[in-house]
Amino acid sequence: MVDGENVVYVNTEVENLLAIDHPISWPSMPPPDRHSSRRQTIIDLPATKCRVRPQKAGSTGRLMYGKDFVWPMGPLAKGGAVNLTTVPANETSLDLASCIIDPARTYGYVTALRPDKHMIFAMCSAVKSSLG
Amino acid sequence: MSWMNYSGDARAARGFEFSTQPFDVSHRETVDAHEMFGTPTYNGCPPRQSSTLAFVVL
Repeated sequence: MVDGENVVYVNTEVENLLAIDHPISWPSMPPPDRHSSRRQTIIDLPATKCRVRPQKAGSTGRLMYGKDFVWPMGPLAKGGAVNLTTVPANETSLDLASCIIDPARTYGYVTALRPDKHMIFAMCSAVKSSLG
Repeated sequence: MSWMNYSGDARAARGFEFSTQPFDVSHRETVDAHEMFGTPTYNGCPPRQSSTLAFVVL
């Protein structure tokens, strides 16, 4: 962090000491946004195509597993679609979807807006990182 | 990657991450998928080299 800024700069590096290549599974994850059902959070990101994760044992998702969609309208298993920029009230479900950030952009971002607190949380990264 | 853990109470959470793989599945499944939307689903670090990743949170 830099004095006078509310910005956290994160730089990570891994070194492969082996004589052969090594697989990397590398997520960059900020703390999740927690909220009660009464406090609406609005999510935004410059995504294009998305896919709901495959079904796993014990899955309790409301989205249609393995289905492709265009952000932000996620396909519901019961039919129809849901806007994923908003958080449902009093609903019980566990879903995961993965999206590609618009590859034409230099930087990608995710924002979480809390209108009730007049706060916005954001994460930003280069679309084409050194990981390629 | 976006996960939506809605418990119907104050423990509900919504999380995001920029990631080298799209889903929380095994490495074998990730490699078998090969690509998603034209982007590789896995990555690797070449021998005796480094890889870097940078992002900001505000």
